[in-house]
Amino acid sequence: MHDDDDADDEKVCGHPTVYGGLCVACGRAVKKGGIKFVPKSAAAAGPNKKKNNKVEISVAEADRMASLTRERLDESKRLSLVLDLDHTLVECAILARAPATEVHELVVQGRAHQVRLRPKLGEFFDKLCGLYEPTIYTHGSREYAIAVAKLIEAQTIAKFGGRIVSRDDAPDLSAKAEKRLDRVFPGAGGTESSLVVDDRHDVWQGADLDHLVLVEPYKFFERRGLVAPYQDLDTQLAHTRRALVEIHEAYFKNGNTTASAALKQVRSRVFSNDVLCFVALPRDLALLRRFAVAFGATVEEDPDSATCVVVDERRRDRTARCIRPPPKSSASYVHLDWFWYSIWHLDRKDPARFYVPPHEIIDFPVEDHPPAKRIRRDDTNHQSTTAVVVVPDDDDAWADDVAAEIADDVIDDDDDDDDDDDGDQ
Amino acid sequence: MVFFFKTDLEYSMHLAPEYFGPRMRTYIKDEIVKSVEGKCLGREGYVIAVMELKNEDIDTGVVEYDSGFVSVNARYSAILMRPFKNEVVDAVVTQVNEIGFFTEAGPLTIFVSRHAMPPDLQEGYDPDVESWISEDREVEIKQKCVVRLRLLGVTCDSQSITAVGTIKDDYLGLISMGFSY
Repeated sequence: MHDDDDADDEKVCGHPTVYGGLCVACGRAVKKGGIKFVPKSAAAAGPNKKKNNKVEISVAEADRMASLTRERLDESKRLSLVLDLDHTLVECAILARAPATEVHELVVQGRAHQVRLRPKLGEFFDKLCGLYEPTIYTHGSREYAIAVAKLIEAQTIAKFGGRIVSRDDAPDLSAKAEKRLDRVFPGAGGTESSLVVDDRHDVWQGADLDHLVLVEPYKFFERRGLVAPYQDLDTQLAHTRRALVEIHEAYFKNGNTTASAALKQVRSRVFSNDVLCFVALPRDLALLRRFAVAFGATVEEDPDSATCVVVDERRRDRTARCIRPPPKSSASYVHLDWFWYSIWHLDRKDPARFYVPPHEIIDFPVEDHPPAKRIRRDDTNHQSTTAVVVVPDDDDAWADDVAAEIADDVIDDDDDDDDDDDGDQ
Repeated sequence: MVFFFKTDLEYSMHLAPEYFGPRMRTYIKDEIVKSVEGKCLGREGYVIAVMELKNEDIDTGVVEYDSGFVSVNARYSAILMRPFKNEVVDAVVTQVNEIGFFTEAGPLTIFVSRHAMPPDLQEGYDPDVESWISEDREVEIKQKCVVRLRLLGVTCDSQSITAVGTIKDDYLGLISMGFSY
């Protein structure tokens, strides 16, 4: 491909990498339109991030690097793991707020940032560092990404090794708010052994969605004001960790497979026995259906033939009166949260916990909100009066479960199913 | 080894009416030094320091008809750093990644790709320690190392100079492991 001795000869030099318009092997200016190049975004903008000094690599070089990476990962039996920062691993607040415990102060570009690490982040990396090679892919600036990466490296055993892609490195990220896996892993087959952990599915498009492990958005600062005394009950990373271990197993057990196939295998178990029907959900219906099918469910239009009817609490008071009477079949009405938590945790939650009595759907008084279900909701427009009622140690079954879940997780780290009463699987 | 020049340069600026008065020349001088030192002047190179800026080299200004600003020209001499192709430079490694490493020689950033490394170093990137390690493990290039390199190519635009270097030759490569400022 590239012959070292003839690097100075323009005819022989394949211009494998170009930095700011200059070939790095022969030093000549490379004209646009000749060899095809792909931008190399991972840590490639250079230390002083001048806009024009981007590194681009030729397609042949990208393929070579992709196969090298693949070889290295296969050798150590690892997969690539692309991690989002904000609302996934950490939450960050710029405005000065009341001091909270376990908040780290970072100064980035002269502004104080309060960063809180998501609970279980340490255990997350303890378990997964031997199985995955982490890469950061964030919408934040390069300085911010590096500062947070340093913080995570100091607090956990994670090592990012410079694998940080920020919006300064990836032009589509700042322009279109769009993340693309081939920006992180260019070259043929570069994305095959990689998975993504992100709280947003809308920034990923097309085939990249098959690599996405969706997590619940972590909004510590937003919710802290609503619930007093605040206790951080977020268990998402424990579930994600368990799922990622399963995916890793599926990948290396089957030998010649891709990460997306392994993820699909784990995903499709979630709703494999469910026939879902979505009612009173005019928004995002196509999206919900797509997720339901991807996670193994059968979607029905008719509530009578469904096993679970998913409704949205936020919509109940408005649209409830248009809803048909309860189905004749044994279907149970469950809240939309049930659907999302099952997806976020990659584990079918017990529908009984998210049960919505049919009479509530028909007529819905506001004060009858089942309060405990609200604690994890990410909509901010609900009343603080209902939220304050929620204290984690009341006798609500759901809160107990969460507490048990946390206790379980602390005591037994390797317990794969920390959700004890989900007996459907 | 780096080429430095002393050159006469000209600077033109718009001066707001608030600065008119006995301290105007001092202000103009300060402004020139502040805005020019450390900057890249395209093909001229990087301004290292303003040397001489005499009062008589500041021209009489012309008041602009519509804004009240004064446009002033001033001549000054400065020391410039201008890198050339094939020049040999010592530079500090600032960032290492799988495609090569970035170095800095004063204001200039130079990229050295793995293709411009000796064959025994080319495949030696270790992502865990972020360094390039030779096959015999004698040489380890990582952040803060000093390398001697030859400039393979240099391009200039109005704001910056882009340079790529090589360490694939005799007497080039790692010369010091640590460097403290």
